[in-house]
Amino acid sequence: MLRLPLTTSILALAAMLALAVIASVVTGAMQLPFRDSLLFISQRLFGLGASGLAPHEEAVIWELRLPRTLLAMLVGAQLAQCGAVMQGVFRNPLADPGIIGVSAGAAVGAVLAIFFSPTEISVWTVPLGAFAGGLGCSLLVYGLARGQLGTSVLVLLLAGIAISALAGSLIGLISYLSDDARLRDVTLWQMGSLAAADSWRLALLMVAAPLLAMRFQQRSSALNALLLGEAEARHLGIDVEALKRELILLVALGVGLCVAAAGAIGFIGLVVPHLIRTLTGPDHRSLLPLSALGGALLLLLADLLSRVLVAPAELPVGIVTALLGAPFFIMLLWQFKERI
Amino acid sequence: MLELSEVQVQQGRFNLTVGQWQCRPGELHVLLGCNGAGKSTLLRCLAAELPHSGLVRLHGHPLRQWDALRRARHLGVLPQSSHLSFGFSAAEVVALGATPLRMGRQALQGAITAVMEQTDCATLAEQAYPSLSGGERQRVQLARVLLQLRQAEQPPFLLLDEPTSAQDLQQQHQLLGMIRALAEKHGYGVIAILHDLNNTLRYAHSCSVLHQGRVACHGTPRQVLTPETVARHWQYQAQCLTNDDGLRVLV
Repeated sequence: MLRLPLTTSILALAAMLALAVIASVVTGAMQLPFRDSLLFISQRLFGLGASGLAPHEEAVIWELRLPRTLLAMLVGAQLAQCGAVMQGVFRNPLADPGIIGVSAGAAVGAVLAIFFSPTEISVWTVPLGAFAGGLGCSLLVYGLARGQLGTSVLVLLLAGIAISALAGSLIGLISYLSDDARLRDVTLWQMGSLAAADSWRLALLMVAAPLLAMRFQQRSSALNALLLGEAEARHLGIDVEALKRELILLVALGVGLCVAAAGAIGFIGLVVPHLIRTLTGPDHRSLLPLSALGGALLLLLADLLSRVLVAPAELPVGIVTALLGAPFFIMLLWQFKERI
Repeated sequence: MLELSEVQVQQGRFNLTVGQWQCRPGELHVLLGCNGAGKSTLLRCLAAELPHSGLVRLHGHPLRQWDALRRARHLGVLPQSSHLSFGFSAAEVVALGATPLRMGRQALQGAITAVMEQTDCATLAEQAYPSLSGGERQRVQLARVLLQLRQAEQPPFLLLDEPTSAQDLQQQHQLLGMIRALAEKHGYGVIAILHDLNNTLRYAHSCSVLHQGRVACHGTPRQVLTPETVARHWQYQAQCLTNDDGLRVLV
């Protein structure tokens, strides 16, 4: 089998990510000189060089574009890792965090928060609502699917579908009851956006993403064994129930945080691990870190597109990822339909 | 020693009851019986996969009290078939057998090659597992289970659910010969479900015939596999011959 060596893949992805970061920082509605923008960043970070930017131009870079770039990378990396882990737990390369109802639950939580809380405090209530909704739903789905002999993947998937349907109808109901201003908030939030990269959300993700990534990495060998089957993994000495419980909770946490920070951004968790698997194989010990890099890169590029396509306005990034991801998903289904 | 005492398993209307039953290290023990007699249930019971009453003991200690990783190094289970939806290479699947082991990278590479040669699948190492045939997958999985048992401190036990079901004639004899050698030369205890009575006569040290959830008879293949037992449990009138090596053959 043709496989890319791990070091090559990491270096290539990291190099592309670096280029995308630069592109993301120098691109936007306000035209800024390329050289001065880079000089300004190196001056701020390393104390080297001097840029000729005006203070308001510096603010655009330091307070708008950099936080946005960072948020895109963190959300993308975390969504892709959560997708890879979920696919491992379900032993199905088509599974996506959306499938167990985490995204749907988080969306309901966030929309309820938009509807019921005063606009002034929605900066706090929306992330909290999204996280609580996501966690609540995944606990409910997991509780439903847990039986005497373990977690039934079939029941888990069906419960995920049922909860997504319930979530959809609740969101529809709230949209119907909302006044025009709130309806716009709800609709825009659902499409996903990285524009609102305030320091609180960013800080939360900067702490959570590395912690989650570390824990996932520690569990990567056990996750590999789980791919053989639950009974086989048990025979290999793995506490399968504890492993699944932990990973499902962590994925709920990771996705909840992403939805809270950036709204509903789909398909990163499906597309990225799949591409990485075709390049370097399904071993989670390399799949997880590479997915993080790939997810960061893909969401950064999608965000870049969303800002460039209809400049000086911008598209919600969720629409861009769905436009790229949904056809990819259909293509995958086509490939897999013989085997499902 | 792997032993059952006063074990009962209830699965819907099916009931498996075994009073005392055991397999010693160095022994290849074959479980026989028609479909639905309880062979797989007995095997899954030995693998601690089913809730049951009574005791399953490995080297004198109840299976449930063994540390999970230590148990994994002493008890390997080969499932009848194994589905994998991810594109691991055959060697990577075998490497998963090292999950409960502590082994350096180079030692692991050597051990993988060794077990794959043992099960005659070393040439498949770089191929994608999902593209292999049923028989090839069985041999790769067997190599994985053999790798898992390589660091056992006490004689390991191997549970095989129809290990030769997808193998051609030559492979069947090669695999069964290798398994018998594992028992005789390395002290492995092996419990295998087989359907072929002549292979049982030729390779097994002992066997049990299961019938309607009970162990109907137990002993060496020559004692157990007589035309009368075959007629009683399989409703087939077999003729008993002796071949040139003095082995009994049922036709």
